[in-house]
Amino acid sequence: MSALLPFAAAGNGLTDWLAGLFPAGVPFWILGLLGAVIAFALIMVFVSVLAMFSTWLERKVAGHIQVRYGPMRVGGWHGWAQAIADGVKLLIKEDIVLADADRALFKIAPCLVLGAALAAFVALPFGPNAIVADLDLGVFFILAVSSVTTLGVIMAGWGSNNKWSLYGAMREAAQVASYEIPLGLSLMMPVMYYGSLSLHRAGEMQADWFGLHWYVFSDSFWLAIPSFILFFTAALAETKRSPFDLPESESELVAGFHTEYSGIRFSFFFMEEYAAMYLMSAVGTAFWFGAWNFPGLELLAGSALYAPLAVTVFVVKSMILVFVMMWVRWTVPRIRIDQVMTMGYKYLTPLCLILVFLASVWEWAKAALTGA
Amino acid sequence: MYFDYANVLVFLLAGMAFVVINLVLGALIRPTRRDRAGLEPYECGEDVIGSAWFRFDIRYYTVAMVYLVFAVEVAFLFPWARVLKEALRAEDIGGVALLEGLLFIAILLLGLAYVWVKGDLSWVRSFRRGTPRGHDKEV
Repeated sequence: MSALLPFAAAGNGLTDWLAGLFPAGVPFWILGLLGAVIAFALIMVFVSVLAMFSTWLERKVAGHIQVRYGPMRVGGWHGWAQAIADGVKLLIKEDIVLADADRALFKIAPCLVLGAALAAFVALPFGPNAIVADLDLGVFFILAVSSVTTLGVIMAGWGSNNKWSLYGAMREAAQVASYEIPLGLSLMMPVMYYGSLSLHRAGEMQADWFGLHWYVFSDSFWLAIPSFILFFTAALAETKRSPFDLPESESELVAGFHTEYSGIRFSFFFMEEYAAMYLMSAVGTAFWFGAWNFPGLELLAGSALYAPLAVTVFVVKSMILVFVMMWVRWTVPRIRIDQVMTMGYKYLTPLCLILVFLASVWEWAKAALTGA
Repeated sequence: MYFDYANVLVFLLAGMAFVVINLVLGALIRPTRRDRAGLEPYECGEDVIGSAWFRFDIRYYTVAMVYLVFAVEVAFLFPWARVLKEALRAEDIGGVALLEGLLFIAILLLGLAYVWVKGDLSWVRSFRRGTPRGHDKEV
């Protein structure tokens, strides 16, 4: 049934649930479209809450790392409502489009950036039965779509007609061009190990050993650990996070590519940044750290608690990686653009290629030794 | 399954619609006071000198080309990595699948070594010949 539904996905409980709600005569594409829109609404709410929580968390982490408190007043307990107040403020700020800007590029850029960042969530599993669509391209799709955001950033920088923005956009182009390669190559080790591009499939395959058959604990752990470090480094660069935040670099380029963006338009770039951080962390979690699997969780399989707990485990694991990204930001100073390029091409790329080499030989050895 | 990608279209369009809706929503409540100074690019408070659309030294011209080649090759490697596990366990192509992949990676490494030695991966290109004041080192 679900294979016949456009928009419907294997492992997506939503469309099956919708099919049960409607009489049999309803055309299947309506169900599929409805399912996709509901899924979008859920993801949108998740990303909005995530972005708000992450801005608050980022400021708290920054504060505590620098031996201060961060936001403390808004909302009472540790300034928990700070992000909501910020959101309202951004919404009622004046929206400025420069007189000399390329208005079309300037206005399309945030749409493209956020649209692409959200589209990448389609292939992201949140739990065993919580994925919008288990695309056969899986992680390759995520890689492809999330690099569209780069185009948006370059459009924003060029369209602003501001020198700071231009520098930011050009750095973004250079930086992403050099880190897309190690990012893609570092994902090949898990892809080879699972024999699948699907993050959902990876989650299913890590369920053994009482929920601890994670890639980092598997027989390929000696490939998993270095490949994760390479992946994480490249992911930091792809998401423009410190120490690779050169497109933004607020201490040199004012605010880089989004210098001229104000109010709500600016907030879309912010949202994209946190969405991209979560996305990369979630890919890392799904491939390396057992996705939604956790010791003891499968004892609950079949009960009503299982699905929400699995989603919670996945989100918490991903947020731990997001926290590490923040931790890195407030620990490591920004590096120079030529150092960024050197690191990408002269260290990460050859190391990744060597790892791919070793991983393929290891897969061959496993196949030859076990004969299975 | 082939329609799974329709979800992507919905997400992309709905994501863009979300941006537009928020902008329209904001337009109803936010102030609009257009003065000349606010509509000028920000250059730290100074008067703006010229447009930002000038000729720009994109140093990474060769790097961009190297990227293009490598990105395509990564795209070629993905299908190989995806089927390797099954191919190694297949009777007919096991070893060939591995060797062809390894050969491909070896050629990639060779290509990387070539552009590296040529100096095309340096952000600041070296001035190889006839450069005064000893500025001939790779930076």
